[in-house]
Amino acid sequence: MKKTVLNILRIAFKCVLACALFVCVWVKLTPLFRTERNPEGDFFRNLPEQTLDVVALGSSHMQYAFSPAFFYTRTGLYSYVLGSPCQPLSMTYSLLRECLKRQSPSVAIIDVFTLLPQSEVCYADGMFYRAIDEMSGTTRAEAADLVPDESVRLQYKYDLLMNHDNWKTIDLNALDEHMETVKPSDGFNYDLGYVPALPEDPEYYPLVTYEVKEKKELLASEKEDLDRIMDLCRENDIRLIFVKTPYVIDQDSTDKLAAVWAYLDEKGAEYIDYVEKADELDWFVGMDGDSWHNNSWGAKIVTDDLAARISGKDLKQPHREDPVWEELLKGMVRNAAYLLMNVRNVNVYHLLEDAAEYPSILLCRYKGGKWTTLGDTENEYLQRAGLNHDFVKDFDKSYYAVVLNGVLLKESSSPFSFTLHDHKIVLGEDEITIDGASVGKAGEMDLVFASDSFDWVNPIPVDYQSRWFWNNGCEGFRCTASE
Amino acid sequence: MNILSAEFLILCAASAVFLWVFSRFQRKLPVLLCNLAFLYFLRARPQDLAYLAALIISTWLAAKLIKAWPGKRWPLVLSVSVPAAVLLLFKYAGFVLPHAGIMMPLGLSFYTFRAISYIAECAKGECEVKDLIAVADYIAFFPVFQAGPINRPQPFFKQLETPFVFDYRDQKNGFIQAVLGLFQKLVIADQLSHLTGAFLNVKLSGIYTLLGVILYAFQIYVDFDAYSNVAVGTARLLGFRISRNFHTPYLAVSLRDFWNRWHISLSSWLRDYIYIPLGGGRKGLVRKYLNTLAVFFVSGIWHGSGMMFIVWGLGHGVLNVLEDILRQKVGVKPWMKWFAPIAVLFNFAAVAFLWIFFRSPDAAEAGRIIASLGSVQLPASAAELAETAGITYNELLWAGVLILMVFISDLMRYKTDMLEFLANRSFPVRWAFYLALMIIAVIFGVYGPGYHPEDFIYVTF
Repeated sequence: MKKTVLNILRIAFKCVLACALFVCVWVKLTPLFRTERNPEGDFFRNLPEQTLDVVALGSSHMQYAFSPAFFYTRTGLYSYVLGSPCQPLSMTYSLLRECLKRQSPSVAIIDVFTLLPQSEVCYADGMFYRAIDEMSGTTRAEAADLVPDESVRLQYKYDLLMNHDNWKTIDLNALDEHMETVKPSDGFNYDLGYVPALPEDPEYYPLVTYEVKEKKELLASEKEDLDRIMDLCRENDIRLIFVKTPYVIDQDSTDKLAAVWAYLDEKGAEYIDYVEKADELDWFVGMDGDSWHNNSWGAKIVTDDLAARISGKDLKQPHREDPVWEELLKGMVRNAAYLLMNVRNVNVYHLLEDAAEYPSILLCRYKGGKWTTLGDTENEYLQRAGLNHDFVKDFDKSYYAVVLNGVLLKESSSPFSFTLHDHKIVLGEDEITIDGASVGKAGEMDLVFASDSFDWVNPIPVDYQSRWFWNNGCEGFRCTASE
Repeated sequence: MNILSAEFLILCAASAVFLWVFSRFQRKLPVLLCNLAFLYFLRARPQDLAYLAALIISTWLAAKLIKAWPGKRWPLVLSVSVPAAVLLLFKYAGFVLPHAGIMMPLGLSFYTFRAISYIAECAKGECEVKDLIAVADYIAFFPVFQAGPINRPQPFFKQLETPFVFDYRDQKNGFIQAVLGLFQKLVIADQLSHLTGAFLNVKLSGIYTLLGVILYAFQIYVDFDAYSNVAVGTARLLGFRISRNFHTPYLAVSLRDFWNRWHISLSSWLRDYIYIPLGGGRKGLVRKYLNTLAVFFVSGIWHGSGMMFIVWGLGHGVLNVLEDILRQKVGVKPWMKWFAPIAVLFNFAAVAFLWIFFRSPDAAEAGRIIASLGSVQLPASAAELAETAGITYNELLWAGVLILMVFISDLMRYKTDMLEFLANRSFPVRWAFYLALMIIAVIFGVYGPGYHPEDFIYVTF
């Protein structure tokens, strides 16, 4: 009997020891060999606690459509995009929970793209993985529980526990470096979750919308996902705004989107349909985005509109200025100036508007003469950008000016040279040179937009023929002049 | 039920505890219950279970008839030829009628040979006639049901009739052997399988094909040895000692030596029930060689349908005959032992070459691989070698480590019982070894997303 008891104790002890050892090895080792650790979650968690005012969540549609830099420029508030490709709504909920661990945002903006049939094309194994990988602690496992398909759910749970594929690719000569990379990542996402895209096809194609043809119903699981988010926001006193960012929608998705809005109406939730509002906001396919994603100009339209609806009054606690955020946003706003005004942008109206709002230099060379006539609209734009000249009344007088961040630094009716940030600018009668290099040399007028350090320069020549700029009757920038 | 499944592991643990508790006086019934539980979880088709039951009953009856009528040969002939014919039918039905959808019952090759083994032993008078439960326990003994080893009846019945006495060390060694088998499968065999596929890619030749052939030789060895270790270890955990199925076969100095070390339970079965009854080497050299060829022909047929298995079997047969002729001519000299490493290499080359036929579904594929071996495709560096094969450099490096691991462990196992060796080490040494295995398994094991543990190769036979 005594021997039996001893044997049982011995077996029990060794089983426990083996299990404990195995669990320790597993817990310690597998994170070192997980593939493609997504540092985005770490970047978000590195932000100072309780400083975030607005959080935007959703798929890539949201990542491309909402820019914290544009939002900050208009409102002075801090915002962040917690997005991931094709982010299902259940993952949006989990990411919002992750966000609430360290932050207490007053407004949540959520894109509903993944409720629409068109999102099915981006369904992939990775969509849960990418979102889950941004989370931490138990939220990860809880998020995996929300994966609807059981086999996929198990796969994700296994993946969280068992992914160990990285041994195949790690550099054996730089193991230390590898061990560094598996630690939580330092630093920040310098775009604060926004994904910048430059315009690729600057043409004005109106966004085609459809009438609702078929009355659709949301699935129970979809309602559950929406309810869960609404409940969480209610519990945390967060103003919740569902949006659909502008994109090339089809009939099927139009019908489904109507069902989403109907359900949100029923629940008394706030929502904005930017597909519907595209026309009103002058949002064009090509100019402001491709079939799915907004480019930087489209993002500005969407973000500015949201900024107009959200103000300091919406905050549940006063906005807290923070040096980390200020530093990050300063850099991002400078980058926003590039995204808006770089050489791809030849829309001088946008450029003049943006030059007044974003850190940039505007150089103007205007050679007055009897043929040089500008319209009233253009004159207003030029003046709003900081130029102190009436181009309508004094159309025949030459004008040369340097404007920095919307502030006129120097103007003259005759050519002059000027040194700015150690760069020598020469505003000549027929050309503008920066450090000896010609940047504007055509016709009657040159407008040169540049960063304050001249690391990007966008010269816009305005000659006699294009005196009305491009607005009248022209469908895009490929035509050079209006009649 | 895959022996890598949680179901199987739970069944083994539950069966072990059940047998430890209830086998103090007799083991027949507890073993039967465990076997029935296994067959239930196996989710076998009813017709397969019916055939198994029929085979068990007919084998039991046949043994009784053979005993009752010692002069009559028909019970023996009938009870051996019918199951053998059924086995042949299933093996070749798919080959002859590929679209008929005939599926061989799982484990048929193995339990048929066990049944024949029992009848043959009874006919020779070397085995007592047993009751139905004992026969069922033997034929359907679950640790060895799916892919062997084909254990012999005498030792099994002896243990079945002996009251179970719990021996901590013995049970523990059984457990460790089974776990090591799982390690071999999940860490070595399946990794080698992935790499073999990469190197035997149709677009590659030369050194790639050569490496693929070598890797396959190790894969099939480790895969089957892994299964055998799980089976033997599980049986030991349940209180049954079954002889090992492999004994460092790639350290064999000749093909005859190889077959004494490879799939020992099958080769000894073929020797005892085919080669010796046919006359063995007692009826002259020509007859001896014909018998040898017959044995390897049967071995080829047993492994699977298709010409390639027959070519593989006969290839071994012919080389065995040639080797024997050479041995007759040269004899065994004391100085030969100095050339043992070279003999090992030659032997391995011959065996690995013949595995090409074993692996290939048809002659065209085998021909392609052999032709690829003849061509010259040399990469400039190991990194290029890996890249061309579509694997990473680390995987290539790991393949080398795995083969080295197999080679070193075989060297150690050559003369030492590693389980006893390990059991005799101090507690910290043993657990440091276990910890090392855990670390290797956690990092390099074939589990989780992106990995697909393969079926054991021999389960399909």
